[in-house]
Amino acid sequence: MRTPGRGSRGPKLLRRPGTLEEFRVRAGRGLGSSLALAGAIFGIVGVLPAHADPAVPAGMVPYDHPFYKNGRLVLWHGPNRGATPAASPDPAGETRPLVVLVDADDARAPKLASDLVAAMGASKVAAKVLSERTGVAALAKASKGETIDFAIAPLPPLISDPAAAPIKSVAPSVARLGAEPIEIVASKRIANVAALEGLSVDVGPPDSSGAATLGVLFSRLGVTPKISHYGLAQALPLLAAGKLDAVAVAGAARGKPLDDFGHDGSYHLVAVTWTPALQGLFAPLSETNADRPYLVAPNETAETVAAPLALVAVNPGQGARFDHLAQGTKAMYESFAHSAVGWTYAGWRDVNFAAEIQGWPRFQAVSDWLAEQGGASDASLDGFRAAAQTAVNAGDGPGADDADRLYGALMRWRGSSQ
Amino acid sequence: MMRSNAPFALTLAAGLAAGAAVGALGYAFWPVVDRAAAPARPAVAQPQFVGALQPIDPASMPMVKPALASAGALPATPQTTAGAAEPEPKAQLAMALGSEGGQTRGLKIDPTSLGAPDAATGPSVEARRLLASGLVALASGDIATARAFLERAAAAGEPRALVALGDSYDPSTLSRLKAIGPKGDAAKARDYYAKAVAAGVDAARERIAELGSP
Repeated sequence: MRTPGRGSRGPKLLRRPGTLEEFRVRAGRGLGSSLALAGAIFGIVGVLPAHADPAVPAGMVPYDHPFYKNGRLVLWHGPNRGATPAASPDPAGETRPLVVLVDADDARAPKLASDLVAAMGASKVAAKVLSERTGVAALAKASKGETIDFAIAPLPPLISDPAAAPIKSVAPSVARLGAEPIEIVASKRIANVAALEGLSVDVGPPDSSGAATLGVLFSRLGVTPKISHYGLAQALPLLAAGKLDAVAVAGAARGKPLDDFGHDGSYHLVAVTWTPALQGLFAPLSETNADRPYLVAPNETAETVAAPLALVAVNPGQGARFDHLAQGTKAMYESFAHSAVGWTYAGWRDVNFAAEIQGWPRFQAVSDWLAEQGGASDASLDGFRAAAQTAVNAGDGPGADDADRLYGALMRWRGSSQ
Repeated sequence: MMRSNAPFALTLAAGLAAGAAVGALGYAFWPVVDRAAAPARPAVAQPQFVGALQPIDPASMPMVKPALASAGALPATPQTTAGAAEPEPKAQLAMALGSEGGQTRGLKIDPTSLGAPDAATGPSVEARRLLASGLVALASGDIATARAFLERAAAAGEPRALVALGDSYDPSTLSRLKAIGPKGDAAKARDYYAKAVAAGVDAARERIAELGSP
């Protein structure tokens, strides 16, 4: 006689579902099976590579230990491994995405870098952005390796900081990029940058592009504030609490956090008036209420300066690495020359990618690309440029006396009777 | 109960033993990664701390031309090249600049406070120096920086800066400069040329003619 609800087959315990005993049996079996399966997988994964016996091609030497490269197990190597490296390039260096280094503390540079990555991508050259530091020390360190290919760095420290001299020969310029505004936020009782003498000013993290740029600015203007390195997000509350006298930043984003600061109207942008001491490093700039609603009063302008950025090729060297960086450089120039991509910020549309940078060498790949574009030589343009170079080399930089000569050269170039 | 516990114990023991044995074997034969072959870390993985920023001695800086050079060091009249714009009265440039509401790319131009030009002395030293800086930037192809200086020069009373500003927007100029990126704006160029003409710079008429009709 069959008991209702009981099956005719299977273990007896299954006929009593829901009991503690059944649970114990099932748990035991499940645990055992899981351990066995996990162990088997673990063991197979671990054992197989070590015991694999691949057919080693003639002349190749199998590794005596697991050797991984780019995440893949390499089973053998050539007969000359360990000897003097051949002149042939590292194959990995030819295929990996190019790395564009930007400063993590610069709110605009990552977007700028993304535009450059897109420009390379338009020509099928893979690239990616790395956000770290681009101060002089960081660039010097990057220039000793081959993991960073391009860097977006502020020009003032590159050109004027003596510590940047060793970088000059190993980080040639690819392009002159847009300029970033210098903004110094302080109480309205501090009218201009000269009044910051001896006061506490935050300039952002050490060796950030902002700190390096602001260091050059203060030095050139002969102002010696007490510097701190909190960074914009931390420094603004300290400024509001009266623990800092000013917060200086280069390339702050439009919007937060600066546009959320100063609602009570007691803060403003400290005036930084362009002087010839800033020649070749900074350009004059005016900001309005539209730029900083709470820091510039309506119908007023705040005088400040802008620091240009440069795209540099990091340690391009020779051989395959040079070719790889040259490929990325050419891709960028092709894209911008043919308007294949655009800039995120409208203000960058005025950026001439091919503009020269006084005092900094140009990447050979750029010169090669420009030469390939050809075009008739223009003696009058060369004359205009020679006049400009003469004015720059005058020691004091371009002065009032140079204006007439330069204007005359411009008129001759443009074919005007003046 | 004894009968039912026996399969459970056996299963558990067998499972544990098998798992432990295979796991141990797997662990024993797990490959050791060659750290030397691991990809190098980024060269700037950590922030590089530097010492306190050291101001430079202003006296050691490349010195600037004496601000607002003494009147005696300057010629009584500007050293304009042949045919260059003759100095026009301040009001003429003010009128030209004021036609855009006195506003140039965020730079507020107050026609009543222009530093020059003066009929006797022409553009101020400051205005001419700003013009020179703008032209140097234009020659190097740095269009954005050139405009920044030229706008200041125009605001300071240098009418020739208006011609150069027009050039910085003139598609023909940018093409001949082999600029990569900026395409120019013929309407803006024409506007600046027109202001230059109004301020007395006749050379701008040729530019307007070259641009053709709007």
